[in-house]
Amino acid sequence: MTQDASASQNMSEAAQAALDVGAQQIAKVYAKAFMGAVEASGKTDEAIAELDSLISDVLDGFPGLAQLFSSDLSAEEKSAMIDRVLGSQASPLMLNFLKVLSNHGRLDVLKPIQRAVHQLYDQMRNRFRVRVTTALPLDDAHRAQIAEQLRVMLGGEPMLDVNTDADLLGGLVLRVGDTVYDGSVATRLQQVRQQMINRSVHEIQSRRDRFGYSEGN
Amino acid sequence: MKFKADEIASVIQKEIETYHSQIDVREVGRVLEVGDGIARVYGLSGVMAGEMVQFANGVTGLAFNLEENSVGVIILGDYLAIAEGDEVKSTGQLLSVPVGDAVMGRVLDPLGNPLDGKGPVVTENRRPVEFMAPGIAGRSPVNEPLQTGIKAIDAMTPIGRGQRELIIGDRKTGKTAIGIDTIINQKNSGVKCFYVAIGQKESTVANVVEALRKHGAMDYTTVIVAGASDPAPLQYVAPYAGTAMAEHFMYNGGHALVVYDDLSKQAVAYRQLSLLMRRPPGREAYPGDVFYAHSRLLERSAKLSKELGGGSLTSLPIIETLEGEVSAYIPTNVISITDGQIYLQPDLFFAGQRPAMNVGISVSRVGGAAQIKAMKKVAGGLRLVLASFRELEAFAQLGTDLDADTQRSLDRGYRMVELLKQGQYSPLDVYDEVLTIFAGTRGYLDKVPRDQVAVWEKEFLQFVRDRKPGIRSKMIETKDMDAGLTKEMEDAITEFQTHFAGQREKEKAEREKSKLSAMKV
Repeated sequence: MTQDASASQNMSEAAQAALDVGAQQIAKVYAKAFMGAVEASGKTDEAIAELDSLISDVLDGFPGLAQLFSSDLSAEEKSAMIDRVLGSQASPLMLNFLKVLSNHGRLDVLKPIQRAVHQLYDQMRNRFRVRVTTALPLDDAHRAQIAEQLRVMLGGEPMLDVNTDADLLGGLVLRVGDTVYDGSVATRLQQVRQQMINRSVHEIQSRRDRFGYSEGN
Repeated sequence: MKFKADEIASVIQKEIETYHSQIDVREVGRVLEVGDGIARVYGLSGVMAGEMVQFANGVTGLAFNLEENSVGVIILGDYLAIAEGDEVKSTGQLLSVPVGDAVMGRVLDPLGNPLDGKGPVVTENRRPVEFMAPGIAGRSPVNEPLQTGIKAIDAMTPIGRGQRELIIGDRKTGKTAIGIDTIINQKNSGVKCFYVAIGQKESTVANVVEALRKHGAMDYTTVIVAGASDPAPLQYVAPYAGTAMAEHFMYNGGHALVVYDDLSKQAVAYRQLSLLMRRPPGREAYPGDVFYAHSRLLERSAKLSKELGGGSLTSLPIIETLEGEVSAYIPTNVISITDGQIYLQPDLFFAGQRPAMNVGISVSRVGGAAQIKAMKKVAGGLRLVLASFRELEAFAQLGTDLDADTQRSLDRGYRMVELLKQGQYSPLDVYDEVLTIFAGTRGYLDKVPRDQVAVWEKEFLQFVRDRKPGIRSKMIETKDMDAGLTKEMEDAITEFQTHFAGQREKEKAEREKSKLSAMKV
């Protein structure tokens, strides 16, 4: 349950920060490097947990630090500060990573990097983030059922991020990456409505044609 | 009336049974920024260039720029209703428009939505807006005439079915008028006409539609409008949409004519889009592929080979120049693409020569093959007569004494210029044109006063219709002029000359008489 909560938090953050596509692109590069380094050291899970904790406990806990990171202090000053603040607790790998970032002036993209790291990690472990939206809250049985079906469909481990939206009226909407599988009642009603409009238009036109409608008049 | 529930129950049940399991699968993205007819979209990772996308409010767009981390979309509709963060879904389809008989007589926007208040366009037939032009094997040489009904054009810059003839000139020189007259003249010829109005005032377009309707041309014409107030993306796609509608007839063995009025405004709209999309600007800030934008459009006009049904699509693109500057970027581009051009000049226009066509520099590169034989025979020397006349005219203005020969050439030239004048909305059929030009080039008008040439022409054509129907019917039958027919025409003209002179004498006498009586009173 806690995992789901953090996942949903990640998604909503992603929704906001995705708007800065430039930062995202940069973050991907650093995330790839980070993953390469931690995979080589063999302590992937610990390193990712450490990164998460750095973001949530340190940066979110002390917004002043984030401001310092994105300020125009020189790289040496920032590196020295990283040593002083985190030196006692952080792993050498994390310290090095932060210093590399500071040398390149990219400490302000830490959050996008975290997101990109998670994406890469999911990709490596063949896991898919799936955003499930339903009209009513799902119970665990349904959740398990959906997860099971998705596992077959996607050929990987789905990570459900469950939301409710009463406007759907019923059914559910799944979103995997950029693809949306929409089985909601609202969309079906919309389709029915469109079909009815099309049919009536056709009917009206054909009746009018029957009564000697000539072109251009 | 009562519904019989048991009758429809099974139908309803079937509908319900077939209905379920229609899951709507779509690929989506999110709007990052929107403005001035374009949007940047994040996501849509599988979208293809030129694919249609749909915004949350139902407006459609076209994927225009595929970039590393976003997609540039041009919005075909109201972009003010789209907000940052809106969902965009890809449709997996190309932009298409309704085609076929259902669009005839309609006024549509470039997406095929009606603008004339005559209800929806109901047809199953659609064609993609962007379509590859027929290849070499699919074409045959232009060999059928497309009569514009304008004497000067049909005689000197003839247009064939499948040809692309550019109409170029400054503002207010009668460019649109030529297009409209040509459309009006297609009555009873079976050619379907499409008038694409790009970036024009809505009031101007309304006038054109009204003129077409009044002359009975709306029965076989479709007007596609992307007005000055429409966003640039619509102005950009309008010519392609019009061509798609016309192509339907071409590929079904029919004949179609498209007038693009005008392509310079389309180029401007395309420039706007490209700059907003941050494509690099080139000459005159137009994007590098503005040539391709026009060439791929005009290349779609063709005369198809017999195997493909022999249909044709003729196009009359219009380009507006600034101060007669034909060496600007867009005019030179389109001149090089088309099979000839008709230059219209303001000084000729204001001198009363309408159409204000400059004969010297207007050409038609393929249409000559499509002229009917009779026209070819009479029009052969016309261009030379006019060219030498222009030379002598400048000379004569010096006021020197002229020898008889020069004077004769001048007289002939003045009459010919007079004869080639033609009012708007009054296209002539090709046989009338032949008769008129025959009389002019053979010198039968040299003695007619210049201000009476128009009257002479009108009465002569009426005379032939009423008293000598044999000439016309023979020409319609053979489309040629043999010695016998030439003799007949000469005799008819001589006969008419005396009749005409007598008529004028009588009128003159009457005028004198009324003047006298007025003086007495």
